[in-house]
Amino acid sequence: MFPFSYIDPGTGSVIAGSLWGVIGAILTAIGAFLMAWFIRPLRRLLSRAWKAAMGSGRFGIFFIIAVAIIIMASVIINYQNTEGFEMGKKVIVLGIDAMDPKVVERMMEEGKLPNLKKLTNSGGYSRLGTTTPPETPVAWSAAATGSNPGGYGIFDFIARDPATYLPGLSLVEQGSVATGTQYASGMKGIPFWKITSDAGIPTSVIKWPVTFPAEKVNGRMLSGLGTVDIRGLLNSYSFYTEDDTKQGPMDAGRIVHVSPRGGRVDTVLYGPRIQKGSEVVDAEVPMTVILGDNPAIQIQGSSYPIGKDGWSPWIRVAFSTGFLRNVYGIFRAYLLSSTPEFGMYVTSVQIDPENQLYRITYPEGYGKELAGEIGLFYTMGQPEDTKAVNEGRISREVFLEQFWQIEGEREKIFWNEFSRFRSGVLAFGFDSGDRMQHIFWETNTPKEIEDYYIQKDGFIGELLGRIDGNTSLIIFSDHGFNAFNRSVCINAWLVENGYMTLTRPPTGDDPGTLFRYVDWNRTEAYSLGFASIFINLKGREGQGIVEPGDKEHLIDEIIEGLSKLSDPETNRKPILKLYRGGEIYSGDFSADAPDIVIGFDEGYRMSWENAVGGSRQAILADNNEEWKGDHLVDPSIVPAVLFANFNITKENPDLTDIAPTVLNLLGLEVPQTMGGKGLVS
Amino acid sequence: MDKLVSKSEYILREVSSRFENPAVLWSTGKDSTCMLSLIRNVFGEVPFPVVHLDTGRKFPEIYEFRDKLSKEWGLNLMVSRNSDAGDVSPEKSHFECCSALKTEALKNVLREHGFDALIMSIRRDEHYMRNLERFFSPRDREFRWHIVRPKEPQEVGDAPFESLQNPELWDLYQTDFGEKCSHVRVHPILHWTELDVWRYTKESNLPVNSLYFSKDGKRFRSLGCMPCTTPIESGASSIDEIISELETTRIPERSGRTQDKEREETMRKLRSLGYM
Repeated sequence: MFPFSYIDPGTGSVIAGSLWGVIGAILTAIGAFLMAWFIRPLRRLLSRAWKAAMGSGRFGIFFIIAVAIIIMASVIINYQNTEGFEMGKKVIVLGIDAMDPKVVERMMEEGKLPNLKKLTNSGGYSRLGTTTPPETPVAWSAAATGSNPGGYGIFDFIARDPATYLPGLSLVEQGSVATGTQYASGMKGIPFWKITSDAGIPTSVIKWPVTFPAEKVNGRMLSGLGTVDIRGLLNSYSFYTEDDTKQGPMDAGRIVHVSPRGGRVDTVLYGPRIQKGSEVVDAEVPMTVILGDNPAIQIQGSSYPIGKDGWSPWIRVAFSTGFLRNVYGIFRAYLLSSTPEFGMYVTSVQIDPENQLYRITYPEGYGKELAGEIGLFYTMGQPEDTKAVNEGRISREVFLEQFWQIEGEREKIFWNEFSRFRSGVLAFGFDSGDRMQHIFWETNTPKEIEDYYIQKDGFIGELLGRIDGNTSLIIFSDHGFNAFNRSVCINAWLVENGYMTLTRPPTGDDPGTLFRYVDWNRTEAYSLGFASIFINLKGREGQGIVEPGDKEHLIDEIIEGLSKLSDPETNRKPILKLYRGGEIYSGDFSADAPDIVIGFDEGYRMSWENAVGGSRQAILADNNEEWKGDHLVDPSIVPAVLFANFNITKENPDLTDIAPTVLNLLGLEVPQTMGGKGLVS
Repeated sequence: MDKLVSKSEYILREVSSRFENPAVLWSTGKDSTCMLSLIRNVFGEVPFPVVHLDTGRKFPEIYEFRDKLSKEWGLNLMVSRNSDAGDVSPEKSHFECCSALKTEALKNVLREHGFDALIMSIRRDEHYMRNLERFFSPRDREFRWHIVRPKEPQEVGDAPFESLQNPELWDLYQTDFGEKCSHVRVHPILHWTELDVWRYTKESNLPVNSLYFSKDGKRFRSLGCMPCTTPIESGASSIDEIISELETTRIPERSGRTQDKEREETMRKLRSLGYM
């Protein structure tokens, strides 16, 4: 956490730029000087040689042969670089977030997923072990690196800084260096695409979670979950309304109050936060919504008609960030109603793939190329706006429309990449299904979810028809799904049992997020994120009080106490299993692991207050949100799925086996740090 | 130390000879109190008006210290408050609050008295943005500080902007910035560090606000408004102990001040995750 990290994008880059400007100017001057000395004679020499060669037939042939030799040599060198990789060998790794084995197996049985069924018969299907805890960034990173969380340092959606106890998102690391805001991927460790890229194998990684900012690969990358919008957030939608809707204290969305006049609404679109004088303000551009029979959005001199379905097309906007430059973004709007009361939803303003505020593609030109071929597309990590549904701004129906827009774009991106896939590895992530199931999950799978599985089955059918005999196909999910009926606040339990002391009791309005009211001098353990408990350890935590010698005993005590926790409403135990971080994790980053990891039983999940270091009065409460399903339970409850177009011989495969399998299939050696094994022995 | 002081004193002499109506800002903190002492060393007294921006939310110790020293040193003290600020508070919006209470109050006092130079006690080691400051730094009518302006890159690799600040080489300082400039900020101790300030305070035996010393294991390293400043963990209860603490610490000085801004921003980020 850094003091001025709130100053948005852009502000810092100017400093970087000016520094580079100075260095660049010096280097250019030196370069020009050298060139003046050396290039001229060199050029003279070359042109003389060329003339001599062209002058006699023999020299011409000699030249052509020389060029051919050089080309062949470079091909051979390249080929040797690929360590036994056979050109033309192809591996497609397709991740489908939250595809649930219970649903898949039943629907295959009922004949609703014919293509997956066919794949099961001709290749292989298995339930796939997920990570502890089964959270998206943890699970996909295990698949990418072939190791347990200790090998890549993501143990939960939320991580804490032990010195300050401040929770933060583990998807991306944000820092403020001398050059301003900078992002780095939260995933440490070595993903398979780094190994294949280093080996010279063509490698494309598209929309794989925790790949923001885009890394250099020997091919193309498009960043997935973790990609921020132009405000540097995971979601910052806006809702324009003329009624007196109030913004809740925990709302991600912004409420903009407007008053329509004369068939139009004159308002502004908010962009990145910028420094203006001594203040930090939101950049804005004027925006007008034309109402009536042909509604439209007018912005920066262009008019964009709103379709019959209520959705605007993609709109590109440039925010002037004052003295430095423009920041480009893209957004879509949905007109809920214009009479009797005006209401409009506007997505987060997202990074423009053609003018990237932060690197979301590698190479950068790939963003422009892709937008040119398929049109603009949702670029943020989690564009399916569950927030807007949960906060009551859009209906589940509108959410579903948005979900299908995103899914459609994603498939276009896939086919675009597939159409030029000749060799190497193509890793691709579909993760909208996870967000859709969070909203629509019911014990008896509703039509919306079945439709999605059927659609994906159709997509896989088409893919099976288009791949050749040289292609290995792996399809996996990162975890399954279950209902979220009751929430659990572990900090409330820690307070009740004397392990945590608060300076004032939490209330509904003020749950004391970010451990605001924790008295660290009288707190032995604290919980944050969706599965983590940490001991307030002397020498590790900023204000630790527990002696290292007492740690293990305290962990035993808390595990014993929590395993007795019972829910009087259901007469069930909310926690199925408790793990010691020190026992289940190993690797370079295991020192950051939680001391205790909670595996909730089916239907239970950590409360949001707890996730952000807050607390509440009740340990247990009903979940009344629109967010109905979840997977943040014990891994044994939500296993994932694995399909392959080859025979899976490994017993009890799990996510860490994906990366070693990719390397095996491409003839590469599996590094020892990968704990996983190949799926085929 | 002597070198630091003589450079600062040179700048102060430049101020008095090149500007007609300069003023000095005094927060009562360690840096600006040092500044007053430097001014007294150069001129024998403080010949400029001393402006204190009162947000009304300062610690009682600050007001006490201000009034006591002001009498002792015979300062021409001007307290400026933005009485039109209305109902702002950092809980609602940190930026609005700071802007209404500090920036507006400063604008008011400048408008009223027409100061052409403001002597301020910022230092480069406080924050990286302050690294870009010059000793003499012009502000426009809107109080904006112009660092760069955009331009079309002339060739590949060229930066899309150019610096608007001229370099300050040796002891040559630009003090005339033309018509667009409303006033010039002068930073005589820009080149000092936090440690230098404490060493000077000790050598010159300057009075120090008691908030800087440890109480119940905590002390303030930097003083702002009550709601937005938090103390750090420290046992240092004398200047000597502070100096030896600073020689070993790596925590940024303004960490106490920025904590709330960080909290606000941290929550904004966490909230944007779907699972909340």
